[in-house]
Amino acid sequence: MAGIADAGPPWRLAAAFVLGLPVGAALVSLFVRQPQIEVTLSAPLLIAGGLLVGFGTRLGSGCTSGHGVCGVSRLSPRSVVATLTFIVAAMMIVFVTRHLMRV
Amino acid sequence: MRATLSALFGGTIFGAGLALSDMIDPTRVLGFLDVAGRWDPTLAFVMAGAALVSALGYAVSYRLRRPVFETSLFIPENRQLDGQLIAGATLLGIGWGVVGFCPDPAIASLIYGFWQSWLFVVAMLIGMALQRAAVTSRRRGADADTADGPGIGLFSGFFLKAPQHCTAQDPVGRGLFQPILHAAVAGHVLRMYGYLNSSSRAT
Repeated sequence: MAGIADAGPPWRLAAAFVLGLPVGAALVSLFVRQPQIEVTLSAPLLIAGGLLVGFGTRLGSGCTSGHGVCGVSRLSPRSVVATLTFIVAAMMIVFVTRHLMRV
Repeated sequence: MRATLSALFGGTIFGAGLALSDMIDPTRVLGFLDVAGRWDPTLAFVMAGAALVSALGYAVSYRLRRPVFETSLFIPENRQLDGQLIAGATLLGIGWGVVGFCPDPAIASLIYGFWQSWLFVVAMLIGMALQRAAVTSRRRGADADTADGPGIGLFSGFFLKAPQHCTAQDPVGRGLFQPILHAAVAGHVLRMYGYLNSSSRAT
């Protein structure tokens, strides 16, 4: 655990929430269906993407869920702008990699 | 303790919803982002549906005098747009577009044991630590007290900004209504899952 909250809720709540994510996914695979996951990317791209997502999430104060679901649902102007920004950025990158560079 | 269990339960429901809705499948996510190719718009319904259900949760929680398990709600109050928000969202979007993973689904998918998930999450944690380090070094000597209020802004992160964002910003998440909210989200996602299976898979 690289760091503890500077502000916000107690870290144990955040940690418990994070812990719940794989637990929930496991329950689905146990009782509903096996996961359908397909990752065809190379290690360098995974690392680059991970670094960008990690850095950007903190810098932008939230992720796809945080801004896109929690923030948008309470009509936070910051979250609406952030959500539009990361969706457009991601769509542009996919366009570049799939249709211009044909990766 | 009850609050912690409540957060664990919320995370579990959320993780289950991510798995059921295929948000944890990078290929599916990239299909959603590929507007110029064989665009698969269905994940937009997952996101919008989850936001709608969350809005109901907020509506309820705003009427609560105080959360059931905690003394106060953690709702961000910052409404000012700034460059960091845009820059951060852009970087996040680029990384998301390259890989198809974003924080919560990537963490949820760890349980399946694909090395790609683990590598991505490790890199993501390093990215978060780097951002934290950059902030710390920039702020060193400066007046740190001008930082953001609780739950919002640059410094509110525990090592993972994203899930915290959900716990932190989700007022319902601090009390009794969190399980109800997330169950509602899960129920919606389940319905959506049926919808997705019947419509998109058939084509």
